[in-house]
Amino acid sequence: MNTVPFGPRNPPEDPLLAKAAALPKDVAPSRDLWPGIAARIAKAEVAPARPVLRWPLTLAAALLVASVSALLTWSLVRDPQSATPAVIAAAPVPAGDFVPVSYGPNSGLTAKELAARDELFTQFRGAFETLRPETRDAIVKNLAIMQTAADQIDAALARDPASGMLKGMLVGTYKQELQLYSTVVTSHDGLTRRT
Amino acid sequence: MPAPLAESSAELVVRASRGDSGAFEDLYRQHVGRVYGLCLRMTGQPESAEDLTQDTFVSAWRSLPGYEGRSSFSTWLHRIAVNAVLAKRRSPQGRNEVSMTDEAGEQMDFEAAAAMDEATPIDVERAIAGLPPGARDIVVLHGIYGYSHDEAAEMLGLAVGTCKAQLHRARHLMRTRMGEEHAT
Amino acid sequence: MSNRNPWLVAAILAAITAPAAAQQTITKRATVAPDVTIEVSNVQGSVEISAWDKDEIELVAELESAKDELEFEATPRKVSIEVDRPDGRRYGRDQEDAHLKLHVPRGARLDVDTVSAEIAVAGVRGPQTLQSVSGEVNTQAFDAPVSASAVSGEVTIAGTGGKAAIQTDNVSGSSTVTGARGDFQGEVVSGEIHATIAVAQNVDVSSVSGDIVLDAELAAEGEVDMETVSGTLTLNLKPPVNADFDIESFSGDIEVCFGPKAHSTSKYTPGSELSFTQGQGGARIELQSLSGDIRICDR
Repeated sequence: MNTVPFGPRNPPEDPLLAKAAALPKDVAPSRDLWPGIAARIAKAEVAPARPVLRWPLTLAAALLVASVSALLTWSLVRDPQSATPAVIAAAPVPAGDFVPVSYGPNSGLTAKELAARDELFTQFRGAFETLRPETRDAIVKNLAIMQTAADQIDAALARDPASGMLKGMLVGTYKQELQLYSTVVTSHDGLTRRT
Repeated sequence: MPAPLAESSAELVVRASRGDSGAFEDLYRQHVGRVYGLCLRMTGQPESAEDLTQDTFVSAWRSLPGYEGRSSFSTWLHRIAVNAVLAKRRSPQGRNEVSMTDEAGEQMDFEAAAAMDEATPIDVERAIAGLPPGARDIVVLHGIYGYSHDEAAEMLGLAVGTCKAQLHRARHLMRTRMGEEHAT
Repeated sequence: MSNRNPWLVAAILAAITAPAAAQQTITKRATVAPDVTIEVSNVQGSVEISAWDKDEIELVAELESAKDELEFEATPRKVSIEVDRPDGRRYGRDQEDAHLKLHVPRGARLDVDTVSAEIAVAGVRGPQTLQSVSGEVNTQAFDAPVSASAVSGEVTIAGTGGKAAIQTDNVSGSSTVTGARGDFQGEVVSGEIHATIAVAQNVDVSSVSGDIVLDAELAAEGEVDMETVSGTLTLNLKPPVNADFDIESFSGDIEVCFGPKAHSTSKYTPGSELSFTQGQGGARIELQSLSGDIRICDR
């Protein structure tokens, strides 16, 4: 999220480079290369787990994504009506004075990423109630700050939708939101690393 | 490139990084054209480009846990592909393989990638193919794939100034070559 | 070890407030491996860890509440310590504290998390992951990775010039990192980051609205990435500066006290950008902001 703007920016001014830019970016190989790839990755070990020490955020997010997949099928996220009552009960609408950060239409965040965030928010909401008033206050204020940031980035993206910098900032804000929930949830009394 | 492609890549990446090779195959199908296109233009050799494309995806599978989403998945794949191309060039095996052009810029036989658009002149593709490797790399990354000078420089492991100089040289060579084409 | 260390250790430990009369005092000891993994979980009060030269762990727990339960499990390779507080109780200033004081082998690996308990670590050279919601986090960094995070607590990491990769995460609290070297990654929402880093190899800091000040001496091929939505980015570089700069702001000001002036990105989009090479180039520096101002200087 911090190293961003990779990808095409403004079109080159030079007519020669403009012609280069018009060339097809996708070229199909003469044969299907997948079987060769599949054979080689089958031999390799399964992708190793992320190192926990350095990236607690991604571990928490990965765990939550895994638990979301277990609770909710992809079709459920698309069509809540198809859920069984038990599953709906597992992801209640958060009551009370605040809701997760809302990212605008230009965010590029997937429904699955938002579902993972919502699931984490539900757990966070429970732990939140047990915190000190000044801590709860600080959290609510900072969620509002994140919401303002998301709104500003979204407005900027509407004007410059190709900006990798802006998209990266938005993903960064989303990750900060996840990190906040994750810290509160994993520090909560009764929820230990061993369970 | 249609934007929704990037969205489904994110879901597939999450699944693939947990070992789901079916998801990884979908990612392959979505991105192989772009990876092969880059390898083909950088090497000028379809067979080499196919090997490098496979190397790229195998390497990507292994490195997937390290993909943090800082750049788009397509760009991340391109970084891996560029590394693979450069590594092969430096290897003794790579040096023995017939290069498309020698350093003097003498053009050899080349089958340009078929132009999808009638209006796009094939001679541009051939002019790029006719460039010496250093100049060709920067035209492929900056000219065709739209990476900025800084991005291209970083991917190629060069200083930005060197890249700009290569681009300048490339433009000059291409103009000459395309001028020659028209003249004959 | 520098001469400052004994002073620093005392200062860190003194920051922990003295406990009130304890309902329970429990002492535990175990023989452990020099690189034992120690997990500590506490709710309120403090966790104070200092290193010693024995292959032994000693815990002195002072629990003000009779209802808190202490769990202690130890094998030579792993020790788990947890203060359990019955569910459903709300936490507040008048709730009772649990103070955990540990002596651990110098090479121990630490994994500490608390809700509001302060965390203070001194002299431990193994990898550390320290997390609190509202407690302060205070530690030293040597050569092994240190990761500290807090929601509203302040994080202070005193590097000792070793090669520890340091990572901090805050929401409203701030992180202050000194004596760092090599790799540093910091994220903050509205708090601040102040970091001093020598031989900056891989530095990556970001904030939503908080201000970031980085004092850095660049490694030859170092990479520095700073990003903010609306905070201020200040980068003070030790001269001579040999780096490629890539700076972009959507609506903030860019001020660099050397090199060319920023120019508009394009007539189609707002914002300004600045890309240039200073000196011989080599290091790579990228700063981005939405509306925050960017300031870079080499003096």
